[in-house]
This record gives sequence, structure tokens and C-alpha cells, in this order.
Amino acid sequence: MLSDEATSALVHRARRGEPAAFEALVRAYLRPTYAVALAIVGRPADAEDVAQDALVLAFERLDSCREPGRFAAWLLQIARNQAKNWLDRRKLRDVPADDGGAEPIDPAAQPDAGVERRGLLRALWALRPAEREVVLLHDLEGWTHGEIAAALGISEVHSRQHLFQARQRLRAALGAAAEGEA
Amino acid sequence: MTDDPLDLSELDPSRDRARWEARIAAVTSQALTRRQRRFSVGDQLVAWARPALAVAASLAIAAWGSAWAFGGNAPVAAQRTDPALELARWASSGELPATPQLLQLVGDAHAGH
Repeated sequence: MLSDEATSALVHRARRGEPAAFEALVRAYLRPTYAVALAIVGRPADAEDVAQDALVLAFERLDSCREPGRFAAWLLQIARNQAKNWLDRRKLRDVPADDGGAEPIDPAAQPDAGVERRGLLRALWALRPAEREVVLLHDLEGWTHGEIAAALGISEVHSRQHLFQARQRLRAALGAAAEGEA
Repeated sequence: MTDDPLDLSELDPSRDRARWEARIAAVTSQALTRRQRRFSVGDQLVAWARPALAVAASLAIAAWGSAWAFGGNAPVAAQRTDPALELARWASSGELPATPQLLQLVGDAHAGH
């Protein structure tokens, strides 16, 4: 993850319309944005689309980012909102009108996902949203607890707790799935 | 129970390098285009509105200041009678204007043009 100073400098350059600064910010923050979107929408392909929309929207509103050094936190909040809106739209689209709207969304029900990937997605979806965000940002993106805490607006202690819980539950779920297959 | 990091590489969107690079290029291009379009319309209007308002405000203050400096008299144009209205008033009331009044009116009309 870029330092606050480096991010702030890139945001200022992007505000002046420098393409290189745009690309550097996209390179640095598209993956974490994807991770947060995935924690909410549950499907990797959808999460990529949501992450793209969130970044484009963020750049459009770049002047309203009051603390350029905290661009990540601001961007991830936009990503969360975009993902929740997307989820609402998907529920309306996927659920038949006479179903009462109670159909759960199965993120693992993707035709293109491999067996391991499907198992991982199913196990991930059984976690709480905050646990999903933390474990994806930590174990997939490699962020530190300090970076996660600052970006998600939680304490480092909570970040550690969420990660511990998430890993325990994921290992248990993946272990049970492996035993079931054997 | 171990607390080592989990292997989540199955969910890594950049595993397909070429696809990911294409995604980065698409986001960058879309973001740049949207921002440039926004800047070219909305922000330029805002950018021009501020100095224009400042100039207008300065002119208004200067006009008010000069009026005040010259004794608070109303502008000359406001003191002048509209010749057409004055003629219409004379015609409708049947009042005959005196020669100096007529000369004044003709002079005002001439000065007004």
C-alpha cells in the first residue's frame, strides 16, 4: 500500500488531470477496492465490475476528497456504497416477484468457478461482512492491521479479532468440505 | 490452531496478468474521460463564474462609491424626463408647455440619443 504522503501527492496530481497519476492510483487501489466489493457482493466477476465503477466514480468526485492522504478510506467507503447498491439491484433482478424476496444469494453458484474457488467463496460467504473485508485485505492484499484499521474506520484490535475469527472459521469450513469430499 | 495467513490466491483478480492489465487500462481511461468531460463543462463554468462575479461586484462598488462621492445625486439619466412620455402627458391633459419647457425637452431628447 502507498504511504499517505505518496497517495496525497498522486491525488493532487490527478486533480490537475495527469494521466500517470490516475494510472498509479488505479494500480495501487483497484485490488483493495475489489477486495471490499467482493466481501459484499460475493462474486469475483461482479466485484471487479463494482470496483471499476467505484474507482471511476471516485475520480469523478476527486475534488470532494477532503483528506487526500486518506484517499483509501474515502475510496473504500464509495466501494462499499456501490457494492450495496449493486447487491440491492441484483436481489431485485435475481429474485422472482412472487418469491417474497427471501432467496439467499449463493456467491459460489458461478459456472466459471473452479472447485477450490467455489469452496473458498462458499466458506467466505459464511463469515460476517467485517470479517470478510479484513481477511481479504490482510491475506489477499497484504495490508497491515494499521492500514486496515485506518481504511475501514475500526481499531487495530478489532482488525486483529476479525482476522483471527475469519481464519478460524474459514479453516474449519474448508477442512469440513475437504473431509466431505474424501 | 495455526494463525498463518490463508492462501486466498484463488480469488486474486490479477492472476490473469493480461486481463488485469486490460482492466487497469479500462478504469484509467474511463476515469480520465469522465473527469475531463466534467472539468470541461461544470468546473470551467465555476472557474469563470467567480472572477466574473468579482468584477461585477467591483464595478457595482465603484459606481456606488462615485455616486456617493458626488453628493448622493441620482445618475443624470434618471433625472431626465422621457420626452415621449412628457409629450404624451401634455397631449392627454391638454396642457400647453411653455417655450423653455419645450426647449428643455428637445435638448434632453437630443442628449439622450
